[in-house]
Amino acid sequence: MPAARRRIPPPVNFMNYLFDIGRYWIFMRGLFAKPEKFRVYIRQIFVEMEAMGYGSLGIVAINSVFMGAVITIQSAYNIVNPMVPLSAIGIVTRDSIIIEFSPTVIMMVLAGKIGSSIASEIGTMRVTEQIDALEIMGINSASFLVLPKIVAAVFILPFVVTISMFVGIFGGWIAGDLTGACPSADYLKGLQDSFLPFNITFALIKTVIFAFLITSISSYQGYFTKGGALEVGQSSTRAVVFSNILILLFDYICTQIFLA
Amino acid sequence: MIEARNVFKKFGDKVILDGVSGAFSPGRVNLVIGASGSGKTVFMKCLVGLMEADSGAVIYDEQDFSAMNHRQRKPIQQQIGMLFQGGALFDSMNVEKNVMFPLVMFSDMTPAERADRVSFCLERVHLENAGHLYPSEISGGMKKRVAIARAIANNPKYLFCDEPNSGLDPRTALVIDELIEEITEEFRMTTIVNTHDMNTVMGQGNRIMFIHQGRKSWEGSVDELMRSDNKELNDFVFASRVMQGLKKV
Repeated sequence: MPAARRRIPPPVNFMNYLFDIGRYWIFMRGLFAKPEKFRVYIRQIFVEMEAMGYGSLGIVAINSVFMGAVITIQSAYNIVNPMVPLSAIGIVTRDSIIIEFSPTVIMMVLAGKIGSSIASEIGTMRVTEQIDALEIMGINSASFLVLPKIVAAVFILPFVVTISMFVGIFGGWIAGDLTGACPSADYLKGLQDSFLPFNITFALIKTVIFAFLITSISSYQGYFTKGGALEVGQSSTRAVVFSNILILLFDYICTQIFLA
Repeated sequence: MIEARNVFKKFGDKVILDGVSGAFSPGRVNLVIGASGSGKTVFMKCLVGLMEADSGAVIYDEQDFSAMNHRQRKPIQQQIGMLFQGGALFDSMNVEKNVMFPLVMFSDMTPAERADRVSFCLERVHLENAGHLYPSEISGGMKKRVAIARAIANNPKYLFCDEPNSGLDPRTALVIDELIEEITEEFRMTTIVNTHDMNTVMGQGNRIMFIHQGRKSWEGSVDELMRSDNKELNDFVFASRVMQGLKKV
C-alpha cells in the first residue's frame, strides 16, 4: 500500500496576505448587519459566553497558578542583593501577572483553545454545506455565526483574565511560602506596595483587543475554508498562529501607547 | 415557476455553464440530470443564489432574482427549501431543533405552534420519534428525511434537491424519491432535483433536463427519453446493461 502523502502548503506569498487583509475587512463589515432575529442572537451570545468563559476556567486556572509560582521562585532566585527587601518579590509577581502574563500569555493560551475550536467549528460547517444552508434560508451566515462569538468573547474574557490574575498571584503566594523563597508576610506586603490601579485598566483594555482578534481571525479562517477535513485542520492551525502573532504585535502597540 | 435564461458561468478559463436555459413548473418534480462534473450543482447554486452567474438571468415567478441585491432576495430566499447532498443538518442541534430553526428565524409562531409544525413535518417524513436525536446519531437516509422536513417547515414555494439519493441504498433512495414527489404535489411546490440516479429518472421523470459539458443538451419526459436519438443522452442514460436492456424492451 502506498504511503500517505502529506500535502505541502503553498509557499508564502505577500499578495496572498494583502488579499486576506482585504477580505478580512470586507468580512468584518458584513458582520454588523441588522440581525434577522435579535432574540436568537442574544441567546447565542450567552451560549458562547458559557463555552468560552466557564469552559476555559480549568486551563486558565492551571496555567495561572503555575505561572504565578514560577514568577515568584524566579524572582527570588534573581534577588541576590540583601538590600532589596523580599517584599519586592510580591511586587514583581503582582505586576508581571497583571500587566503581562494574565492578559497576554493567558490570551495566547486561549487563542489555542478558543481559536482552534472556532475555526474548526465554522470550517466544518463550511465544508459540510451548513453555511450554505443558512445562506439559502436568507440568513446572513457570517453575522449569525460570528457576531455572537465576538460579543461573547469581548464581554466574558476580561472576567476570565481577572480570575487568572487572582489565581496567578495566589499561586505565587503558595509557592513562595512552601519553598521558603518568600514568606507570606513579605509577599502580602509586596502585593499592597505601590499598586497602580491603571495597570488593571491597561490589562483589561488589552484583553478586550485580544479577545476581538482571537474570535474574528479564527472565524475568518474557518469561514473561508475550502475542501475537507485536511483543510479544516489547516484553518485551525492558521487561526492559532495568526492570533498569536497579532496578540504579540498588538501587545507591543498597546504597551507603546499606554505605558511608554 | 422558475426560469433560467441563458445562464453562463466560468471558473478562470474553464466554462462550467454555457448558456443554460430552462423553465421549471410548479406542482411537479423537475429533474436535472447529467454526468458528474457536467455543471448540475453549479447550475443549481446559480438558481438559488449561492453562486452568481457571469451572465444570464434567473426568474422566480416573473421576478428577476439575479438582478436583486442580498436584501431584495431575502423574501424569495425565505420561500426556498433546499436539500443538500450531505443533508447539511446543524450538528449542534438535535433533529427537532434543526426542523424548528427556520420557524424560529422567520415565523411569528408561538412556541406551541412551532412545536406542532415540527411534529407535523417530522410525521410527514416518518420520523416522529427521532426529534431528540442528534445528526451524528442517525443514518444517512434519516438525515435526508430530516433535511426534507427542515426544507418544508416554512411552507416553501420552491424546493431544490441536490443529489438526494447519493450514498443511499436503492430502497431508501426510493423512499426519498417518493417523499419528494408527494410533498411537491401536496404543497404545489416548484421542485428541482439534480440527480444521476436512473431509478429516479425512470420513476419521476415527467420533466427532465439533460446537461452535458455545461450545455443543455436535451429536454423532455421519460417517454421521450426512451425514444431519443441524442447520442450524449443515450451514452449517459443507457450506460449500464440493465438500462440497455430496458431500452430494447
